[in-house]
Amino acid sequence: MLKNKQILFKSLKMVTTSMVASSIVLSSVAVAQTQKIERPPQFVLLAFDGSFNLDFWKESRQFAKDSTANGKPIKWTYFLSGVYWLHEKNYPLYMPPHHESQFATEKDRLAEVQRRLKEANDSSVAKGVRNRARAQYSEIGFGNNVTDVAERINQVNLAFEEGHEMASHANGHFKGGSSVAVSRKWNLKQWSSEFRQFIELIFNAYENNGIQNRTKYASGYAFKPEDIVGFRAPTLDTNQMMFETAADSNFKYDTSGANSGAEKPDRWPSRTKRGLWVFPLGYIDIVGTTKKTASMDYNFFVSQSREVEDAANKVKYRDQMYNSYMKYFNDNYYGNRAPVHIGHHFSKWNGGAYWEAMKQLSQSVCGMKEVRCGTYTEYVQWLDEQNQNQLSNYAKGSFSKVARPANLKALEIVGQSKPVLTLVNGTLKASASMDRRSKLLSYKLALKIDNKLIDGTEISLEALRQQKAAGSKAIVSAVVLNTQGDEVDSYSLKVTALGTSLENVSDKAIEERAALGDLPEAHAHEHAHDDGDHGH
Amino acid sequence: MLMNTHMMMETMVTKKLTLFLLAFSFCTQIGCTGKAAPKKMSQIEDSVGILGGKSFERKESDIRHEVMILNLKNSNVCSATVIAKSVILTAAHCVTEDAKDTLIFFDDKPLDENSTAEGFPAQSVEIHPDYLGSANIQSTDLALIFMAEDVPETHQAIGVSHDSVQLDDQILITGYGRTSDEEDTIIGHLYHAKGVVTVASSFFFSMDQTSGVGICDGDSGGPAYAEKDGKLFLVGVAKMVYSQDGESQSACAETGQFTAITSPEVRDWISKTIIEKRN
Repeated sequence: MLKNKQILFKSLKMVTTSMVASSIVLSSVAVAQTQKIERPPQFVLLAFDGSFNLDFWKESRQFAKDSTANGKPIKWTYFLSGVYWLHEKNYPLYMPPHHESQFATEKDRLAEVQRRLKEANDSSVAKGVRNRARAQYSEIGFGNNVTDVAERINQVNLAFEEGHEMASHANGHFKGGSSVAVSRKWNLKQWSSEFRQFIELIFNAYENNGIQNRTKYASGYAFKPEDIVGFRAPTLDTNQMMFETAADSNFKYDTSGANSGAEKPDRWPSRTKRGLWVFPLGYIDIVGTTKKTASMDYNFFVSQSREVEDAANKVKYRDQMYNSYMKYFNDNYYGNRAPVHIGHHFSKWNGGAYWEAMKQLSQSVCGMKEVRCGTYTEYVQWLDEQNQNQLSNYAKGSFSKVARPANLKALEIVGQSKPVLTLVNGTLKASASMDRRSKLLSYKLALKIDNKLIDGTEISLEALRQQKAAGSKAIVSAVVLNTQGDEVDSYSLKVTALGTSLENVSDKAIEERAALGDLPEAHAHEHAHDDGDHGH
Repeated sequence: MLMNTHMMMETMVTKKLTLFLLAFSFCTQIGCTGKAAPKKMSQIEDSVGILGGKSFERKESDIRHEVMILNLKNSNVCSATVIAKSVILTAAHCVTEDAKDTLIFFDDKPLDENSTAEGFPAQSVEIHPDYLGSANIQSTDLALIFMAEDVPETHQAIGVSHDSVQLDDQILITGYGRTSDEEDTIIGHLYHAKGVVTVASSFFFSMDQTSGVGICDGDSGGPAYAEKDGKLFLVGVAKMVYSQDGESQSACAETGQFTAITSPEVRDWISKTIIEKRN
């Protein structure tokens, strides 16, 4: 025994010596650099693309206030939509850029504004006609009435005073970027108009809506146009012209990335040539599945329940989002400290699952050592203090990382199952190509109609027509379930106008939309659960 | 790879020769039975680790003790060791109470796409009474898995050492877990490595993994062996990785901790449980 040990030690010593020697030769320079790099703080950027729902303004502010008092400081960034600062009867005071550019002269344009204003307030014109005219000017509606707009102004003032940030989500939620046809893409002039009108809609709100300024501020606002330095494009749809225009205006950062679905969750921000910081959302794993999604609430709603309200499974959805956000956070916190971007709306899909998960995340991480749940502007200020060399070292993770706490050593595996639905002779058939892990884990292929499991793995359109009312829609999903009955992956098609001559089966899976950014439907819901009687 | 391998090369040639001689002498010492001799620590001298390491290159006839377990309830992969003809020892955090959740694999690479290895179902699972949850550092993180039939011929039970692990002892660790921190890491391949004990008590012991060699996710429940009189004995079960100074360069390059199974209390629990189950 003793002899054996001596031999072992001798050989161990030999290995150690040669290791030390080679590492000195190979990495002495790298080591010298590594020691100087301080670990950057972990920013967690919690933001809302929302501004309509007044209850949500109050609730989110109160939550941040309580959390901060509790040693877990939170500062939100609110991306405002300018149209909500306009009473719907005054909607023509905003003119979407693609409408504006139809007029040869300013005189013609003003004439159109006057004509529309008159029409909007003329009760002899049918309500439907007026509603349709208004709908062309905003994808997400307008402010309900004057009281509603006045209270919104009050809320942003209070929020700003409490340290939250006000940023721009443009106005009518129109796409003007690379995802639309050439004729619909906004150019420099159009983006510039949209940005200018945003500032006008917010800061001229008193005048536009005939509201009296009863605040302590001469301008009626706690903040100035110069304080709006951030932008998130509607539907995250951007183009080069947008970035150019943003750089020319007051903006310091843009948070519209992630449309490509290729952004890595540990990506450090970069700067455009014109100096605009670019902060893409995370494209993250949904824990326990093979699905990925942009780090936004509506995208989870698309991926988890295919845009269909399913409050019965609220806890499952909430926990899955929370676990996915925690993985995103932990990977970065214990990794290269790339910022965590979470973008939610003023909405409570799936019974409020997502708002609860966001709150849970904040309670788990805000206030942790070296974590800052701050505004985007705070983050920009911090970034501006770092030099390029530091930033590239951070991105590489060339600093001493915080060790993950003692953890479970069991390793979770997920099988790749790739379910699909194919329409063959009027029948939707589910299939999946399961890999070995899927088989080992006993995954099962199943079919869901409107999120409810049915027997078998195929359904004919005829059977659907018999089950549902004529003209209604159905969502058919090929799902792969684990032994717990949880979805590991899914592929859903939408059948619309069932049983009519317009009946159509979508050609793209609903799940693909989860990789896309902030969708216009994401804003519709905040109207739906508002107390007001605004019809949407 | 977390650890350079090239520095190993210089000693490889001479070592292979030594290995052959050692193996030969060992074989004569105990009398060869036709099957390959049990592994000796000196035979894996040139290994570089479970994390950042390389897999066993073994002949079909080599006897093995390690198995991979797959929990169907939470999709977790763990490692384990055969300690009696139909009994497997692993970590308690690797199993759930319903035995139907647990599958046992005797293959070296059971997760590979081209593998045809089938999982053997567990018949029952016994969790150590002092297991208080994975987060509790005081937990005796052990579980016994009972099979309906004996393990296949490729596998043999390993003896449990009666000698507790001491500071500076050398141990051999094996497991099916991650081989690196990268997302595309190999998992489900049986890897091995050597380590030196840096903390030891009657209930647990630890090894320093800061050089990038050691246990990582998926190695849980796997064995730590020590050599005595030229033979390997089981001394511990992989439990967790923790950080001593709160800083690290990668997730597992910290301190690996094992539940010691050499104490009379633990050995008694193992033998009593087996006797109760099998009678």
